[in-house]
Amino acid sequence: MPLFPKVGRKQPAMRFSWYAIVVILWLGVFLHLVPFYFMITTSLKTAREAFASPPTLWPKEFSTSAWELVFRVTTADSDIDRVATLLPQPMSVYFRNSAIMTFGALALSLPVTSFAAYANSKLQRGRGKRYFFLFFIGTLMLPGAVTLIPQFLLTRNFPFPLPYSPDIPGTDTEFPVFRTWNTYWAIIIPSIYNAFNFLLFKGFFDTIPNSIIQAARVDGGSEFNIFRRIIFPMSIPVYAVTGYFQFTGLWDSFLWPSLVIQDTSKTPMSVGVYNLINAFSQAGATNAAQAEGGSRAMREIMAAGLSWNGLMVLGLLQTIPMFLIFIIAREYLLKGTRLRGLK
Amino acid sequence: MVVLNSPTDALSDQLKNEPGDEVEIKISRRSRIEKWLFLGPATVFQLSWGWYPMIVAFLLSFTNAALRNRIVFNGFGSYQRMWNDPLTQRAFEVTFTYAAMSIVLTFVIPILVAIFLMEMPPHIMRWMMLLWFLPLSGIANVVLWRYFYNAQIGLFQYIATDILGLEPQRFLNDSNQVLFWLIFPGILLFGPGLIYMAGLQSIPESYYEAAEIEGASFWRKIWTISLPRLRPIIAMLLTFAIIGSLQTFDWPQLMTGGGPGGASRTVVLYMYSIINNARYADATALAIMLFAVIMTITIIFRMLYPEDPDA
Amino acid sequence: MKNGKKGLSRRDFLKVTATTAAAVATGATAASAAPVKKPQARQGEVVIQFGLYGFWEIPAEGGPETPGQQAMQAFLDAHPNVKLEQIDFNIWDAGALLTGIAGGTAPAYYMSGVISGWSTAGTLASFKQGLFADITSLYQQYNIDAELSEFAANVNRAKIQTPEGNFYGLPFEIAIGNGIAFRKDLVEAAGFSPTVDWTWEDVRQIAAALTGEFVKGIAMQPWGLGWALTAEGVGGNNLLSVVPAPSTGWNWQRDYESHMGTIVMAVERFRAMMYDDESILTDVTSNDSVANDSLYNRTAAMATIPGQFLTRTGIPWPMSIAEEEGVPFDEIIGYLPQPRGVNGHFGQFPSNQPISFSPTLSSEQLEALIQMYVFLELGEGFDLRRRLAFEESGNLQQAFASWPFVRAKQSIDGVDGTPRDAWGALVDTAEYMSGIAAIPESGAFIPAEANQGPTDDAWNDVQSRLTFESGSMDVPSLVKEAQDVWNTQAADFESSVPDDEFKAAAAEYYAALASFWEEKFPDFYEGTFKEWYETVIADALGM
Repeated sequence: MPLFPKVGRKQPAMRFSWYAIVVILWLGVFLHLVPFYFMITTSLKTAREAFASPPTLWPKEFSTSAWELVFRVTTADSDIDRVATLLPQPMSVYFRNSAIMTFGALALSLPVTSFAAYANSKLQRGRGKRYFFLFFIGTLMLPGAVTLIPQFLLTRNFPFPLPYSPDIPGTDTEFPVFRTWNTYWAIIIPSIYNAFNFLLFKGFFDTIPNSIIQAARVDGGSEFNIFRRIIFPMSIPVYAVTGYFQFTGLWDSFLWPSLVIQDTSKTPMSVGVYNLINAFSQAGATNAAQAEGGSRAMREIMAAGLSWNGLMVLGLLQTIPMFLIFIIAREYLLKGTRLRGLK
Repeated sequence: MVVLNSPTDALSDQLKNEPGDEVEIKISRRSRIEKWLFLGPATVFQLSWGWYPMIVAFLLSFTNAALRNRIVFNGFGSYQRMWNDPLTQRAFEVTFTYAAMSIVLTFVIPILVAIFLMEMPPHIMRWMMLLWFLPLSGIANVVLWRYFYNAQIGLFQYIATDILGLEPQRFLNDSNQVLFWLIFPGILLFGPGLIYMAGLQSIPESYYEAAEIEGASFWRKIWTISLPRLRPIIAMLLTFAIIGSLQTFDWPQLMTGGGPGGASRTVVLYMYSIINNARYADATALAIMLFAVIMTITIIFRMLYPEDPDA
Repeated sequence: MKNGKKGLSRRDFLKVTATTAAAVATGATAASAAPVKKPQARQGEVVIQFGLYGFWEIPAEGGPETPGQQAMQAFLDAHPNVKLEQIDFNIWDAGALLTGIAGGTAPAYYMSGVISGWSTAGTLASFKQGLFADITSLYQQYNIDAELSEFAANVNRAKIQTPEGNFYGLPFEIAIGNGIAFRKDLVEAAGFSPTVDWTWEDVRQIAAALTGEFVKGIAMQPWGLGWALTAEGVGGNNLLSVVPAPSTGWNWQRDYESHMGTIVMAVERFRAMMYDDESILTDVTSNDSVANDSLYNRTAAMATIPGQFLTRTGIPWPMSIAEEEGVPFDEIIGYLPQPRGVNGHFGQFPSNQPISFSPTLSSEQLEALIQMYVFLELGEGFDLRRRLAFEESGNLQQAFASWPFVRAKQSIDGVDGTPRDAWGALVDTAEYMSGIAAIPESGAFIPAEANQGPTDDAWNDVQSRLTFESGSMDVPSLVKEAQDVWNTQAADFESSVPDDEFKAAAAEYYAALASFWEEKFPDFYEGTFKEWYETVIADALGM
């Protein structure tokens, strides 16, 4: 509790500030709970009621039919196959795929990205530092949609951004290519370096006084040892936060995996769930023609018995792992050791 | 714990004069090799999966970017087309307004929230953190806010007319207000407060203790200790907020589809509309124009606001 | 907040890093190296990949279950060399499809409209760009034209065949056009009995009379004003607002000025409904399903909904209101095509949404797909599927869902009943619509562009402002602005069709249009079209 003085808490001004802060914080908590409340209550409504507008605040009639339906869909091997064409694999397969991709990417990405951020923050100086900084974050500045096709083609025939591998000039043989398409690597490799995390790590490493590193250098530690023994332990909170952000980002990512993974047995959960939800909600139609396509997909899904209540169940299932990781990250964030022994 | 001879001196010394400033950092040759070992892997991946596809896209913007047919060099045709397009200008205007508004309205609050949260008793803080930063997949939010904002049956209209006794409001249907209402949920929701909390964790408690002995008030401690120590993180997140808000896409797309009357059609939204029209080269040209703008703004911002307190 | 705990020790750190890295590397390698479940294509075997949310179902491993699967199983039994495979690919996602086609990983079939903005011109341009397989020889070999209903073969013909004669699509779903569904009981109780030749003035009166009983008289999508303008044939890319311009780079221009009076009239009438009568339920955030749900939720007495929405049972389609009320569908829900214009114009023609095939398919794969189409959509497979659906549910509407059919035979073997038994008076509307011959389309005459033109955003913007901004507005200058924006955009496009060729084809197209209107809608022809044709179009084409 570093801000409020230990003495003088009873002063009216202090008390007022304290209560003002408490009120603001609870207001935020309340606002954050509204969507959850809405998701959970909608998932317990009947299909009829889930369509009511304005939505009912409390289910008029409780129904677990959405949960039952979703569990039948997601656990059945192929019991009700009208729905199995919507989610072609049991949820456990999706879950396993998501876990492999997400943790695989995290385990490679956090060290690679944080090393680069550390070097840029503490080891580089002057012009090189500035240019490298732009080099590392420059890719954030181009909307991802336009690099989608080149990146996709690279998963097909790295290093050629082409749908095929060209022939070696003068021969009939094709250049050897590195193909990651339709493997977990297609998800993992492009996310190994993460520019957003680079920004976070760099911002955090910048707050570490140079004196600490300098002192260690004087003691003769190698840069790697300095990082491992001094910087890393200090940085547990930021690793927890970046890890958590990257986890949610990867777990929730949808467009890229839906392009590069084609085997339903390798599909992550987000693709399974969001494909359904997006097709159902006809997101972003602005004219009749666009809506026509969307509504066709929507009809297919509704014909299979899935409506808002069921989609909310899927949304909740998709959220639960993020929720668990959040709780773990929070522990590490709060356990972060404080800087001690500053001279 | 640091033993302070004179609290005042020690504090101001720590705040103003970071030790290490005077000491010229000498990096030995071994260190230099190590520096490249640190940078190496990220550089390789950033080059091959970051810049390489970007350069390919850039080159494609000078062609017809045919997906199946033969690719034909097209010069600056796509750039000229997008440059002369009156809707490009509109989209940039909307984007700038949106970015400025969203940074002004949403950037400060998460910082304060993080600082405030750290004030709560530990067990309350743990619960509040959980609830404040609750992860949520976006789709429920869209459904919910669409309903809140509906000008005829929505919750906000009910609050405005039946509770506050106002005239019926138009919310997202008003082209002058639509950007504000799109940003409004972000004022308290979706904040990056967690990152600041991680930063605050690393501020030595001794700083606050010293300040307390000195008799610094609550706000003064925020102003002289918390914010300066968070400065690099703030700089980074502001960089990201600038880049991110200039590329806003999904929220307007899902809420209003760019309407009413194009008043919320950002550059990236327009770009998507063009891609879905199978004009990939034009979309890329527009994206490169946006890239140039963002790069310029970022460089200017970094020059005005160097992030490193030690530098 | 003092914490005596030390940071991770060096040993811990190394251990954790090493184990995770090793675990990940082995896990991911093992996973990616694991045998791909792709069936080995044996000699003569044809493997076809289906995307998600498509129309044709792959039989379940334990044996076919649904009617759709049983029909497919019957096909597979007859074609043992064909193997189907489900891939994870949403066939409704335009961006994913374009990317997949570029990289050669797209699913076998998709609706051609998804990647071409659902328009005929866009579809043709997509074909020209190589985004659909050319199926000309197979189309002719299987003589598909002979199997199609006359309606299906003629509506939007340019979406399946280029003017040069290449085929690239197969009719899949015929929509009888957009219309307005309404609560027949209430409309009649209020003393109205609308017919197919109603106008927006009628809609306005009915909506005003029923507002109050419900929240609003009529629910619409945010582009509802578009319906009112299409009825008059003006605004957007409607008949009277698009003119050929062979002298410019792009061969088309927008011309709103010639019929500004009509546009202003339609806009003012719509705005009067919106702001004076307050009889329209719409919002910038709503979409098709919102309009549909409003009818279903009884928050509106009428709703502008696509015709296909009607021929559906279950929640939340209008059909289920009748079920809930326990009365025959016919007594409670009426459906009429969009009103016609005061000038006698009619704007909501039926539309055809064809499917197309991936350009990367081999000829064997294409042939198998065409056989599949013939069997499942035109032949016995269709009868089998619909009969089973009927037997399963006992609901005749299941058998005649998405009626009218694309195939010539409109009855179903083994099902005793007619479309009228299933859909009642709806059939009248559908028959009326199919009685109007298909309107000539420019795509059937004018060679396809190799590139797409400007987007419709300029007009959509103005339309949305005119809908959602209250208060007095200068309609003509806003509309003029949309015209200028589009024409400015078009100025930088280069048409791939030579001017001479374009002029000749356009002249033919407009002549065909003239005879269409003269024959089918003489009032409109005499009152409006003829003069426009002889002045504006004749000038533009130098006739």
